[in-house]
Amino acid sequence: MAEIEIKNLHKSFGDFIAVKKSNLVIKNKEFFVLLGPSGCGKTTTLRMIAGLEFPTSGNIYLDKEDVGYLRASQRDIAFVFQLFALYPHLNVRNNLAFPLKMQKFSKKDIDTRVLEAAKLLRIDHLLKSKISSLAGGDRQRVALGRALVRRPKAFLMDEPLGTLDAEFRELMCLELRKLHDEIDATTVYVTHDQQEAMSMADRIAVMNEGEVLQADSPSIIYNKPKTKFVANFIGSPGMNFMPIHQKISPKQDKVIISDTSINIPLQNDGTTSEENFLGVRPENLKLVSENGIKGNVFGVEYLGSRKILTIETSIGYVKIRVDSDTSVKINEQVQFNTLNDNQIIFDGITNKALASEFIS
Amino acid sequence: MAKVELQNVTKIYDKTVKALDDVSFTVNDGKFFVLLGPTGAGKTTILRAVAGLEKIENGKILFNDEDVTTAQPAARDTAFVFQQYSLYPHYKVYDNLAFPLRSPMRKVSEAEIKAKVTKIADMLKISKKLNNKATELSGGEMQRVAIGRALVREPNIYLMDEPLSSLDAKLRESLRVELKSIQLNLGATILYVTHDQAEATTMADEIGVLENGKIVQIGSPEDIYNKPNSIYVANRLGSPKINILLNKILSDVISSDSYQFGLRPEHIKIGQGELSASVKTIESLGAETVIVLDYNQTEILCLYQGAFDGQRGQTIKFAIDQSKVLFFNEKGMRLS
Repeated sequence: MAEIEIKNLHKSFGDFIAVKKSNLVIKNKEFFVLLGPSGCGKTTTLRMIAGLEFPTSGNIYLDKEDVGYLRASQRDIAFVFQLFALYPHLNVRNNLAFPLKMQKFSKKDIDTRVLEAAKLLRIDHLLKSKISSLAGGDRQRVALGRALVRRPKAFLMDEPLGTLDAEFRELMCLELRKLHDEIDATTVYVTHDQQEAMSMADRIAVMNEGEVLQADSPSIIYNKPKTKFVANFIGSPGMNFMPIHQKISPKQDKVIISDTSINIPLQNDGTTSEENFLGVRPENLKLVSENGIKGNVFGVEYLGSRKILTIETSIGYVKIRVDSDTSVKINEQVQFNTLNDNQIIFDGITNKALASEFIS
Repeated sequence: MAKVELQNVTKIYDKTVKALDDVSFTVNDGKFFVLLGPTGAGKTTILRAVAGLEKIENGKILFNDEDVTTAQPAARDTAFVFQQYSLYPHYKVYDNLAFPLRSPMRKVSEAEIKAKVTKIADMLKISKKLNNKATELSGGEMQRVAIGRALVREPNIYLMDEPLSSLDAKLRESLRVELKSIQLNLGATILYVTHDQAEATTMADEIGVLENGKIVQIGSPEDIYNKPNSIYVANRLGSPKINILLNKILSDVISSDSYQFGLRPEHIKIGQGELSASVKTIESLGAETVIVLDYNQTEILCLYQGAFDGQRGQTIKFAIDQSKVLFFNEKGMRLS
């Protein structure tokens, strides 16, 4: 259907820079997620792709055609908003038909397309129902259907599941992804929820303060984050950062943290900074009976298949992921160490990951 | 703080709609009780009934064994935290926190107010913001102040209506741990409602699962997760969801005279055992991977620890942790 490319895309509102000279290529048929905290520029980027906002500078290409300064109606793109904007007094059929009627399609074409979209979304039995009689999920499907009937080149979605119950959101995530695969669409999806992003995306672009920090597959973003921000934002909970009060040199394979020696992957790079960080995922730490970093259990979070421990130590709070049958009490003294060498050293000045045997 | 007890509480709207149907549970003094259920299950109605904001048609509400069913809200002395923080925008954080204590009914001295506000601000990590106006705070800080405004008082019970749901996922996660720790330190009695299962299992001493105005199970997070009364309850906890399969699907392996059984995704061991299936989808969630297996045209969700080194369409072996299988009858009730 479509490839979308943004080149040096820049948007400012007065003194405020919403999107800073960003570059991205969203491939044909890709499910691409723009992820970041509120105010990071993800929605502004999406709105510029849609044509709801014009760039201050830079270009947007849709299948190599520069559309950056075309109006929304002149781009073959459909937008699904967070709040379902449906016409409550019309039935499902007329809600779905609305965009086509506006574009003056023939009645026959409208009927065909409405039925096709309704079948795909499994709401064909509801075509005569009033919007007000529908459950939340079915409403969401109608909203999607209204984007679908236009058979656009790309779908843009701005937190379409943001207002739904957690449980229902999980189900809709699966459905959206399935739908995307069935119709071979290119989808650009905005969310602040890393779990949603991880579970749906082919690739994720993590944004902060108007900048794209990294665009990669979920597993690379998770395992090999290039900056501290990405490492912390991705993961539930995010990565732990333990302060290292020493310079890092190439070929180094150990660091001392809180009087404990910790193995790290063989480093390729060194730092000029004397304050650096060891980044460790909670599942790459384990409780040990000796030679570990000591601390007190501050929190125990039971999550069914696992537990997350929050340990209060001299280097701050550290999160450890353990099996759910691990028995630990609040205020208990424990020790922990690393489980493997999948650790990343972050430069204390640049906050960037240092190259090592584990991460290039 | 108090022990709060609901006995057979029924609430009917418009003479026909049963919003609450024979609801009974006890929040013991100093305990964190979470009501878990989807939108419309009756969670907020229960909170409002306990606060005295909602009349009930039947049943009793007791505070420390004293019947307060007809008592006015003020006489019940509860503190409410809402989903949408409602702070006084023109007040400083300090004055927002002090506000409930300055009520003419309470007669708390300014020195005492200062001591309390400082202590709570410290716990909630907003000490540095005490002189900021409420409008100069981030969303997370505003919600901390809203929670703090309840915590400065020592009411009979804190009633919290999805206080974290309007926050970013990251912030929600860190506030979860903090709120639990504060509750333990203060020995606070909290009745908390949410639709978020992670909030329920991570903070609750006890969870009450709601379905259409009825409490269908009460128990510790571990009990509800491991011994759900019904398929409905089994589905409320666990992400990804429990597999519910008809007996015949795995009759060679699992022998029982039940009608159907439940199998949690983490109790399926990939790469072991004698069963084989093809891999339908692989979804990496970072610390774990969700794998959907196609076993004789039945989809089975599995949770694999770490990164899964495999391909779609590939045939793999899997085994089932037999001791963890849950059996249900035709109506979806669990058989012990």
